[in-house]
Amino acid sequence: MIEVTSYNLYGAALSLIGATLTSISFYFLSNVALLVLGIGLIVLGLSILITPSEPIAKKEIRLLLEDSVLNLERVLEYLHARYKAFYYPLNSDVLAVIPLTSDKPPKKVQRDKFAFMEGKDLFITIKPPASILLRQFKASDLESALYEILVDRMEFCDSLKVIRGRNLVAELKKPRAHVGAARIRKVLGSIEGSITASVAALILGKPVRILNETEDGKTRRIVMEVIG
Amino acid sequence: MSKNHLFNILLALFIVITIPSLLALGESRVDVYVSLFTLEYFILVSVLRPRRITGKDYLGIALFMIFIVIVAYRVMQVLSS
Repeated sequence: MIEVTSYNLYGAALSLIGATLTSISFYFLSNVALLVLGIGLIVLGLSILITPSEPIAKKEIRLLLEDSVLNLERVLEYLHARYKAFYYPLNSDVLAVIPLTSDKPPKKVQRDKFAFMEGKDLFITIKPPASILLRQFKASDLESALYEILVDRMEFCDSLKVIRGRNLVAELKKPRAHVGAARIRKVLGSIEGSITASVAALILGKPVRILNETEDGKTRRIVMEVIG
Repeated sequence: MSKNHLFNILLALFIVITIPSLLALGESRVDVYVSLFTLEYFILVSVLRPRRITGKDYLGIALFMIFIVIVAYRVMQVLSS
């Protein structure tokens, strides 16, 4: 649903004034200056009309999202989860599989179970934080999809780039979400890291694991391993 | 200030600078002004990448179509002369 605010209505009014000015100067005044001023007002007015007055992810909304993952932190703390999660693509969804007893990925993921055993290894499956966003992107390549979600929709960072090598590296400029939950950061990564790994798993169609996340000044570097 | 608002402020500034500058040069062809507005719009879009409530940038698409028509018109003028 498109939310139209007074800012957008101001844009509509400006383009209407521009259209009136253009018509009058074209039909009655034959004045080029007024004509192009009217066209300029139409362009500017339409631009204001289609510009959202507020970014979606305002600071408070991001804080709510960060706060909501704290319950997950309690669960992971209770289970003594210490190994890094594997992000598994499943149809159009992603599941984070957290190994509890060893550092190995499971051979087969049992998606309908919260916890499952494979030999002597115990795993739990959870939906990664902000996984609802994964249903919304349209882009088919990794960098565009990440840009669409992290920059355009959620404004979690200013820009990003993806480097493909032996590992997959995503560099996020000016990341904004800062979750204080240490266990989540250790197991699932930061919110941006979790979203990045989920999108990577979905686009590549392979399990992905975050190897490490480092922050250098205003850039966060997320290093991921593609499994298989 | 968000990049969306900065985009509109800079677009307004560019348009305000373009009109008197071209008028001072004695330019009276409307298509030259529209082409420059389009160019300025796309330069700002590529630098700031503003969000749009419509998802797609329909204004950008419309300006690009108008620009194509203007270029085609000019090319036809050159070829016919």
